[in-house]
Amino acid sequence: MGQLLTANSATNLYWLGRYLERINGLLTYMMPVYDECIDIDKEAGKKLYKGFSIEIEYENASDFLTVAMFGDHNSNVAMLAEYARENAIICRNYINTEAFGEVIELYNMLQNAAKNHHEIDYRLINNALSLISEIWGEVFKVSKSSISDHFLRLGRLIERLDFHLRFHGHDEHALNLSDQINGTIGFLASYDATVQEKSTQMTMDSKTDIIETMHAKVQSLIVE
Amino acid sequence: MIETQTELHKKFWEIYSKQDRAKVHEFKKYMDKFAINFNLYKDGNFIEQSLPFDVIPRIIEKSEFNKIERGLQQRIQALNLFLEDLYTDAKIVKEGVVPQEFIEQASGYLKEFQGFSPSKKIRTHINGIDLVKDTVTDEWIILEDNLRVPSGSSYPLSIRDTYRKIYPEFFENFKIEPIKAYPSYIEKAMNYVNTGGINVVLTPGRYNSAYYEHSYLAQEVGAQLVRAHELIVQDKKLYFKNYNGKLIRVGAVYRRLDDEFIDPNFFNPESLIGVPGIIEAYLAGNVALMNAVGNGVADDKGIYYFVPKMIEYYLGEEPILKNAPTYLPYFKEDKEYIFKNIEKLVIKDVAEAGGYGVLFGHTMSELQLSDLKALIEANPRRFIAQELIEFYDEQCYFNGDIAERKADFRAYVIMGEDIKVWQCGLTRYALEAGNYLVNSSQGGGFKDTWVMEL
Repeated sequence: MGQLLTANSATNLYWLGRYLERINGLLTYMMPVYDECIDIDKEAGKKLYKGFSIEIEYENASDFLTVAMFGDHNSNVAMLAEYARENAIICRNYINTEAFGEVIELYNMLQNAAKNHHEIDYRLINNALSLISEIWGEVFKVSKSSISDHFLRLGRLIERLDFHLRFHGHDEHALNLSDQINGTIGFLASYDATVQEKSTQMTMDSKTDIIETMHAKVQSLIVE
Repeated sequence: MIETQTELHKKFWEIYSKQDRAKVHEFKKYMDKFAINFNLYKDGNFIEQSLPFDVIPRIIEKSEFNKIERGLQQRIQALNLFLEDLYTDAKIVKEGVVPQEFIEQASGYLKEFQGFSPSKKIRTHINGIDLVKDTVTDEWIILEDNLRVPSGSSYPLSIRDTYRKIYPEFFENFKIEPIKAYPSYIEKAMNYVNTGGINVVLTPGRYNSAYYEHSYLAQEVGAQLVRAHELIVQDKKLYFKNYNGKLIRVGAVYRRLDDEFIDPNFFNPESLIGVPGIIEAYLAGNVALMNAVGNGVADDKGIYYFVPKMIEYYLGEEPILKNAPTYLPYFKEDKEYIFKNIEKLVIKDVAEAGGYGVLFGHTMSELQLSDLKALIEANPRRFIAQELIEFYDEQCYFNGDIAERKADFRAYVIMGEDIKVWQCGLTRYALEAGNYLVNSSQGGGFKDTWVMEL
């Protein structure tokens, strides 16, 4: 018998992976766009957020960071960290203890920064990115991943693919990510023949459907 | 007032004086980082907070703890025998040792379970017994038995590792009893009563005050942490719903919710945190519930009065650990004593827990005392009265200073094939000077407890 896991925990792990990667992706894009706002195009931040169908307003490059991190929109990094924390708390018994601690630390750091806006600069972003790297480092340092780790990884990969498709389209790297996702889904489905059959029947019709298709595959893995 | 300082205490303070006090803050950082929380609802708001932790441990000499251990084993053995007897033959009632009326009026008594005997006849699997050390007799006194869902063990378990990392000198210089075996005691007890299947910890969910503990213990015990909807009963058998839809048989449930919420089909139909049908599976002998349903009768504050008599009745032994002197207004003689001495007694409402419903006569006005007497007169079974035990303070560290605070001690006793007393426990202290209420839900903090020798 493989590792047992409730549907709730599997879902929480999957979304924890997605939120962490979403924060990671946003922060990774933020500094180059910040530079672009200063040097080339003040509107660069707005263009970035258009990729998420979000309209933001800001005064200057520093203000862009504040709005991106803590603005009133659904890609607010502090809010995403809160979602990540919530998912981590619910399924904490499936997460490496150190990784769990880093998730809480990430949340606390961003909450503190939200209260003191003057702290929002490249150091905060670098520290947050380091914490996320540490989280994944802790998750993947075990030689043999458990089913719970695979759900976490699945969330991360699907979010990464989502980011890539939004800004780079359906290229070689997207295909590579899709292969990795299918591999992980295949591994998880191998515990259940019915799911395996359902999973292989799905195809990616067009690039706009890719994320929905991937998400549907995950949903087919988890039986509520 | 603190207890007489022994060689152990002296050596502790000697080592303490050489430690870097600034490192005290590391404990709070650790608890915040790992969300080691005790959650509260205040004014309708959910508040996540870490329990206040005091760096100065309670020190109990190994030889002294050995006596506590024997006393607790004796007490739990008798309480388990009492529950098994009460719900089957009820000889103790028939023979008049415990009055029938007292049992019937105990809110935790569930007559629907009369005649049912659980797996291996064990009912008191995981128990928290509250004790204090009396300054007058210098003896440990039992204040309360918690035989339903005692909480708190995860806090000292979590902090001990950190303590060893921050201040290793204490552990290098003393023989401090290791404490990591506690989850294995629970695991063994679960396996012993397991009726076939996996072990699970049933939690009310993420917004319960002790969710951290549920999650921590599930992980350490190697059991699945589940909410009610993640279990299902089919053909009087309990199953765990795996993420892929497969049903896995459950043999033992360490439930962290009270009887009244555990099964909406059987108890409170509005309970959203219970498992429909779990009681049917339990009564069919297809799953073990830890602790047993109906245990509330034995940790009723009124029944507490009779525990020394139970020890004599079932074991033919003198109790090793004493109760606090207790009076039941139900008995005429006791009521007269209570009314005569009410201003120096502690009055407890038997239906309350967690430090609620505890009234100190010496802090009440004439009018309040008179009202209280009227309440007691109207419903004598609802109250007990106890002599106020002047128990020892513990020294606590507050912003660089040492201050004395009232502190109790919750010992954990696990019953499976044998009875194990954890060589640690939860020392709870009051944050304010002079306060006798140390419960976490009343804002009390906790200390590590070192059972040790030189």
